[in-house]
Amino acid sequence: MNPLGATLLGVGAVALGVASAVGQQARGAPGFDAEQVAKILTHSPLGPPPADPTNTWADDPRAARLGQRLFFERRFSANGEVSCATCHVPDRNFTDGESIATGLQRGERHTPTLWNAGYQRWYFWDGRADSLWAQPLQPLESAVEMGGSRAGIADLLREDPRLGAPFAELFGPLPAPDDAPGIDRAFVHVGKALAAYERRLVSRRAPFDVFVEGLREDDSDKRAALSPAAQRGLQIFIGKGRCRMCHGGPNFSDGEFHGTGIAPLGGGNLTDPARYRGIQRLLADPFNAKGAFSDERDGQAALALETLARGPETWGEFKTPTLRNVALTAPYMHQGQMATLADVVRFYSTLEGSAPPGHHQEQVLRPLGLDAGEQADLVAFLESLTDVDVDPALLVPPPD
Amino acid sequence: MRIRPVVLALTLAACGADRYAEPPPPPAPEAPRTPDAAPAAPIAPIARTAPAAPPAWQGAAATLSNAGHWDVRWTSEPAPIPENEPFALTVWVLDRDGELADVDLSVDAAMPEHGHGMNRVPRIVEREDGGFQVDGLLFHMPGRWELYFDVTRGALTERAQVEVVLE
Repeated sequence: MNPLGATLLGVGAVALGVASAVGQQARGAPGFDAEQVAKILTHSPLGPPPADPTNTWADDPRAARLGQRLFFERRFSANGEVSCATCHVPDRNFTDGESIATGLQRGERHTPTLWNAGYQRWYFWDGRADSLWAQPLQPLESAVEMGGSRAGIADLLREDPRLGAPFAELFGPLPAPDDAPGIDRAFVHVGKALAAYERRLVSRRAPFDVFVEGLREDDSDKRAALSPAAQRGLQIFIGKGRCRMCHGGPNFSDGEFHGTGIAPLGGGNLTDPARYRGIQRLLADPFNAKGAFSDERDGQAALALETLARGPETWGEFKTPTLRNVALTAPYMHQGQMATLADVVRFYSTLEGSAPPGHHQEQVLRPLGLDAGEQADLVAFLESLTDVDVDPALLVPPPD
Repeated sequence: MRIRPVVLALTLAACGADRYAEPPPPPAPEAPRTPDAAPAAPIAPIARTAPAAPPAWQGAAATLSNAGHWDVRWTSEPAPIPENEPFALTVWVLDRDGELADVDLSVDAAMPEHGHGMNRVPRIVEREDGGFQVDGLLFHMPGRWELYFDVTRGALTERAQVEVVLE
């Protein structure tokens, strides 16, 4: 931070502190000291999604447009009725509102939102894919989800010029039916086009971000973007709530994996190996960042793959989801075990029903002991992370 | 510098036992002044006074191993160590005399209060300058980390450690 910025923040912190001294008794807005302000600033602004050098077409608008069409394409599925949008419903913030996803069959985990998917390092709750383009290739051929095949997808690309023409323009001639390597490449290109579309689903100017601008600029009008309750919740978020341990950075996720100990949907012992199995599958995936279909096989993504630690502590660990737009993506947790944000905050406040970690597992969680007012404030803060101001044209199939 | 050996020869001759017995021998013909000519032997002591190149670890952080046998010098890229972004280290291990040591190195890190370490096992390769290149590190959470340099020579391993607090 430059000295001027530090000075302005210092003034802002003092000003807020004065307000706090008066306001705390009436449960008004809290004050933030310099250390707290420094923590808050690490959460905003959120820049554009990081580059993905494993996908040459990641930021190609033509690929994004094609990917948007493919996203709504139901004919890729075995029964012609399931598309990506079946579970990742645009009108429902790219979730389905259900605890467990259902494609051709009922799955095992909750549908995560696609908001800010382009910021993730790993994909799926267990991180079994390491790029946004490799991720959709699995549901396309999963018997539980879409049940399609890469050969069937290539057939459809050849048969429908609305798909095939823009595809060939971007990626070259379509493969012949007996060209298995070419069909593999076309399959990958479908994933890379889908990723180009999904990278555009960005949420990054919520009321919280306006508040942070107000801190940086010492602008009280902008700081008013957060209600007093949300500001109190923010203080808990960066303090006694310990939320930012895992929900760190401007996307409110470390992108890594942690054990919550939360019981499966039907109760009982933990059953899902999660990251432990996810790493196995990732390393065996021919579409990972070191594989033949990656456009950069020796970059940071490949290095991350090469250096992954797969110890016993990874058993039962799930990926930290983003908190941006979290108020709109109920239910919560990897199996939708929690119906509301209030339920989630109550869970972390007591850890009731949580399986304690073993000797080999991280000891991050401990009951927060938040009272009812603090829990409500924390929910108010989480609700301030909502921004769905995206081009509405991205939420429907593109026009022909 | 090329004159100096001639003067030296004349001086030695003047100190001989019978200074009138024989005339001093003529000076040796001067070496051709070509850039590629090898320097004459007496030049070497003079060359030693020229400033030596700074060691590769100059300016690096220094961490003494826990039993005091090794002086671990290290830099990070980027610096300072970032939160939840990949980073690399360059490490040199010096002995008590300040000389590069012939040792093996492993690098790890942990968050003692959390009971966990990194989600990575860094890749370590030796550098041509005698140091180690350590890639693939990631401190994915804020808080207090301990960074460990485990130095092994023969059957003995000794740890050097440094605290890194990310907020």
